[in-house]
Amino acid sequence: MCNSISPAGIIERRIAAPVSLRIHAARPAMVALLLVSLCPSLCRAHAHIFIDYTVTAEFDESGLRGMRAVWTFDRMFSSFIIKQFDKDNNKSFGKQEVAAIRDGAFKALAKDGYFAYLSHANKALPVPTPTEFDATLVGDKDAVQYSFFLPLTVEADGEEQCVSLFFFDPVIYVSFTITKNDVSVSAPSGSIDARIELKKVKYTPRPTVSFKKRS
Amino acid sequence: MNIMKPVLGIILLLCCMAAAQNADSSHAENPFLSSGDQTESAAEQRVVPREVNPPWWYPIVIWQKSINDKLASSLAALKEGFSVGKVLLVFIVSLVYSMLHTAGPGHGKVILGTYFLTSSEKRKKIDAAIAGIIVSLTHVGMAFILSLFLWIFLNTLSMSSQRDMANVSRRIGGIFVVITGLAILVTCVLSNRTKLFSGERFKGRMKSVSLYGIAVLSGIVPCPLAWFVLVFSISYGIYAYGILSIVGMAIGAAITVGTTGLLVLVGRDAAMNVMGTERSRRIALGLRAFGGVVLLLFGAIMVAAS
Repeated sequence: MCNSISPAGIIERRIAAPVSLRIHAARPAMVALLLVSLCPSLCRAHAHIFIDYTVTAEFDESGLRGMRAVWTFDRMFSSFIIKQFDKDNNKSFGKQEVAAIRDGAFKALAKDGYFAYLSHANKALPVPTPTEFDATLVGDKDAVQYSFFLPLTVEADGEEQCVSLFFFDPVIYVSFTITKNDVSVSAPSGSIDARIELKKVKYTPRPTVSFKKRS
Repeated sequence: MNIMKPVLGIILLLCCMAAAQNADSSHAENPFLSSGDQTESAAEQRVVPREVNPPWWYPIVIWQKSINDKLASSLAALKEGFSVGKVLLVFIVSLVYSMLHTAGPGHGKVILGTYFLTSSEKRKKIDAAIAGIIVSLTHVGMAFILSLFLWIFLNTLSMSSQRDMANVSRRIGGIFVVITGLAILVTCVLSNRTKLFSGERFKGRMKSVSLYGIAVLSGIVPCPLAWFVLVFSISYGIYAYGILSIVGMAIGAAITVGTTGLLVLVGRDAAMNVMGTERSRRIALGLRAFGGVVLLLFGAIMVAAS
C-alpha cells in the first residue's frame, strides 16, 4: 500500500519545479493549516453534559444568607442518572435514591468546587459546602434537576454590596447556561433592598445580586 | 527568497505540529463520577478560589447544546412511531453533532496526527481517510460493544461501570502507544549511529509500526457521547434508532478525524516541498524524534489517567 519513499525523496523528485510554483501549489494546505493551528482553543469547545441553571439569592433580616442553585440536565445525561439511580423505575427519586445520587453523582464535584465561582465586591470567595441537596425529575419526567444551597453570611449595611455566583467548567466537559429569567431574589419585606441581574462578563452572564440595608 | 524558504518551511511545520496537537491530550473525565474517597468539604479546602473568564468561543458550546437537545428530541420522537423523515433527521443530526464534537479534544487526533506528521514513508491521501474511519469505528464501536456487554451480561449501565471500562481501554491503548513511541524514538536516535536503523532496513522497521494499528489504538477509549446516546435509546426502548444514531456519529467522527489526518499529511508534504532536499532530510529525522516523544508522553498520560 505504501511505498518507501521518504519525504526527502519526494522533494528530490519535485525539486526541479521553481520555488514560487511549489509555494503556490501548497497554498491551500498552508491556509488550512494556519487556520487549524491558530485556533486550537476553538477546538476545546467540546461539551458532553449540558446544564441550564437558575440562581436565587436568599436573605434574612441581617443580610445575604446564601444562594440557591437549581441545575437542569440535558435529557441524554439525565437518562444516565435515571437508569442508574431510579431503582424502582417509578419516574421519581425517593429519599434513598436522592441520597444515592448525592453520594454517587454530586459529591465528586467537590474537587471542582461544584463549578461555582463566587465573588463579593469583586473579590473571589471560597465555595462553601452545598446543603439541602435534592434531585427531582422535571419536564416529561425525562430531565434530572439538582437543587442545592450555598450558605453565605454577608451582613447588609447602608452601603450597596454585590455578590456574584456563576457556574463554569474550565475544561468544558460540562456546559452551563442561564437566562435573565433564571435569577431571582427571596428577601424579607421591609428591611433589605435587593435586586439581582445578569451581568455579562467575557461572554458569559453572571448572576449578580446587589443589596443594602433599607434606611 | 533564499531566506524565505526555510522560514516558510519551519512556520508550516510548526503549524502541522499545532494542528496535530490542538486536540488536548488531557481529555476530561466525567466529573460527576465519584471515586468513593471524596468529601463534600473538599471545596472549602480550596483556599485560593479561582476566577475564570470563559473564552470568546464559549457561545459555540451553547450552540452545541441546541444540537444535543435536537438529537434527544428527534430520538424521542421515534418512540411515538416510525417515519422516514424522523429517521433521516436522527441520522443527519447525529452526523453533524459528531463532526462538531469530534473537532474537540481527544478522539485520536493527537496520536494519528503525530503519526502522519512523523511517518518516514510517503503516505497516500486515502490513508488519512481510512485511518479516520478506523479511529471513529473503534471509538464509537467500543462504546457500543462495551455498553451492550454491560447491559446484557451484567445488567448495569452505571456511570462507574462506564468509567471502569474506559479506564481498562485507556490503559491497554496507553501501553501500546508508549511502546510505539519508544520504538520510533530508539530507531530514530540510533539511525545516526548505526546502519542497522538507517536506509532501507530502517524504513522496513518503521513500516512495522502499522498505520492501522495506530488508528485502532487512537480510538480505543469508548466515546462518552455515543455511550450517552445508547443509554438514552435503551431508556426509551428504541435501541435500533440508537444504533442508527451512533452509525451517523461514527461517520461524522470519521470525516473530522480523516480531515485532520489529511491536513497534517498535506501540510507535511507541503512544508518539505518548500524547503530544500538536505534541509528536509534533517527535519524529517527531527520530526520522527519529536513524534516518538509525543507518542511516548501521550501513552504515559493515558496509562496514568486510567
